[in-house]
Amino acid sequence: MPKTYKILIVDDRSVDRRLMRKMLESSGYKVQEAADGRQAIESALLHKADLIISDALMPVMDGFQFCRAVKSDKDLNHIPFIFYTATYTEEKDEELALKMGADKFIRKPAEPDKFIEIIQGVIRNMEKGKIKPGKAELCPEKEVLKLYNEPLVEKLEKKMLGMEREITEHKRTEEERKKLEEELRQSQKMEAISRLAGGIAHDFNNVLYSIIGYTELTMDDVPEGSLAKKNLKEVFKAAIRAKDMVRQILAFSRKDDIQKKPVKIQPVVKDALKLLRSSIPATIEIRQSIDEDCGHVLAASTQIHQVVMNLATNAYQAMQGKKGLLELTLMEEEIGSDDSGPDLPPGTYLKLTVSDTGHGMNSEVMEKIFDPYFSTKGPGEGTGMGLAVVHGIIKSHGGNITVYSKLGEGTTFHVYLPLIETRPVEPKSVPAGLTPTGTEHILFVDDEEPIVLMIQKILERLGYQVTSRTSSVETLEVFKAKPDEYDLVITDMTMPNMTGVELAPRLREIRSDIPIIMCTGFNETIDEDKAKNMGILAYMMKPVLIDEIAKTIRKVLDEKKEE
Amino acid sequence: MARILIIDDDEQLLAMLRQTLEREGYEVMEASDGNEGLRRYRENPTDLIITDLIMPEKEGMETIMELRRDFPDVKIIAISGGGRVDPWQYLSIAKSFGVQYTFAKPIERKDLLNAVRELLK
Repeated sequence: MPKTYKILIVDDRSVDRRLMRKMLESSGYKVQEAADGRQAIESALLHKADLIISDALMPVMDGFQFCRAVKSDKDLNHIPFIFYTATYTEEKDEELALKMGADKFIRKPAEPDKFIEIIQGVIRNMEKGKIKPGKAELCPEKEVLKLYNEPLVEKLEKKMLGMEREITEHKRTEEERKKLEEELRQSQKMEAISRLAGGIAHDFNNVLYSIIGYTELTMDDVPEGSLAKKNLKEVFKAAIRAKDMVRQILAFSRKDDIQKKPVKIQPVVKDALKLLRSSIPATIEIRQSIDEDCGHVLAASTQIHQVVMNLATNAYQAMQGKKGLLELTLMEEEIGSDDSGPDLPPGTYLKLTVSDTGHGMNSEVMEKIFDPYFSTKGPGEGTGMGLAVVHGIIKSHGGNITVYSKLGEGTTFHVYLPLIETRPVEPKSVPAGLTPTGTEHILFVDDEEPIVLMIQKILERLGYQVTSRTSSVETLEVFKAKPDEYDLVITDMTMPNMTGVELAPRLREIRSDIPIIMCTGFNETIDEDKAKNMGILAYMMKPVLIDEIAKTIRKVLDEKKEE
Repeated sequence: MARILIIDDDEQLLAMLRQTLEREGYEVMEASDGNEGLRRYRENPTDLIITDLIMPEKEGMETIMELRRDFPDVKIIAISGGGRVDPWQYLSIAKSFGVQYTFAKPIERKDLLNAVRELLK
């Protein structure tokens, strides 16, 4: 009968020990257990173990120390030592284990068959006397310590690096989140202000006009040099400031209405500078460097004009009362993926720089300058809206604005706008300013009588024959009676009883090729595909300019003819 | 003495404009919407009309069109405070109807008076 070998398994996890015991016992071995190196040494001496299988990472005395202790003990150093580890699995770990005198190094988890095969192999070697005792003695203490420490340090470093990366990552996401929140807060604030302003602009302008008008009248009646006169001048100044504020906000709130087109902004910038030159004292030198070759951007010229005016006015005000230099440059700039400056996707941008030699600002002020209502100017001098509007406009153009400033030295703003590839749209054959006319018969419907009267007059002036109605139901009847009489139907979208969207398909039922133009109110939209299916060939947003009406009608009718 | 008709639905503005113009020696008539304005002008034509654009009942644009149709030589200044849309959009429509001067409210007195003097020369 062959010898029954006693195997000592050392592992701090009882589950792992139980598993190993099962595997080994089912292969005919006797098993002893220990939870750490110190226990194991006692057990090995007591039970005279034939083989030791040990985990590496354990409390009290870990596998490496344990191995070294075994291999340095003359009563134990003949016992083959096998590492079975899940934590220390790298080549360096194996090297260390073998240097410590281990006979085998197995990485967890190993297949049971494979595991047993390895154990059997070690036992066969032992039987053949191939396993030499006391290998660890060959290894000097210092080197062992070094070998022992290296993987430990490495592991620690790796762990630290991982944690550091995690922390940086976390910090970065946190910063990004804060920045996004800040931007959202700012845009929400601007939107709320502009929506409010849009709704009350008309009444507000009337109120302001009353204030300005009466103040001017009363100023005539009080003697020059009196306190009353002085105070009225302040009222007047305040009202003018409010007027500017409304203009600024409205310019921003209408940004959605303003059509962006591919434009070269050089002439816009020059125009603005010309306007500024006439209002800025000669003590301030204006220097410009405009690269005429800069490409096109998709922009609303009026808004870009406002951006330049606001930035330049700001620059001038920062130098007020002194000599100074206002410098404006326009050039193209490439932004790469690693550029930390303007926080924009890589690409080619138009870069507009406006700088002054004024009083500059500290970082605290710099942080707030794009906030609506933030102003460093004295009461009555600034609206606090100028830079907020600039910021809003630039953002709505897919660009960004950055600021650099030093107290006492001046301030520089950089505006970036994405360049576009496409060349500008060639002017149409109809020269601008020439309003196209026609003689076709148009059926027009809108539920508001003044609009009907106005549009009818406009269309008649353009030469068209016009039949108009204020009810969509009536319009349908009129059309049904003589469908071939009309060349075009123009309908309002929002009407009682039957909306324009409901009317259009009914008209097409009667005559499937009748072209239809839809007039929509402010902020009304309609699904484009749906509209096409209904035969709606064009839209006009109210209030419509005559030129636009004329051109849209001509375009629809001419396209119809070509079919 | 030159006579001016002001059409605006804002009473405070009407009174203010009346004072402003009377101080300059003009005779002023008032109307608070387009219908009233047209009626007054037909009864007693003035040398100049200053009209608002957005008003209840009959609004300014229509009033201007009717005036120009019936009285081709009428001199008109259009003023507007705008609304959801830039006042200049309305004002540019008015201009295309043959209005001589357009102003966005609020207007500084000197600008309005310069235009009035120019038209009444």
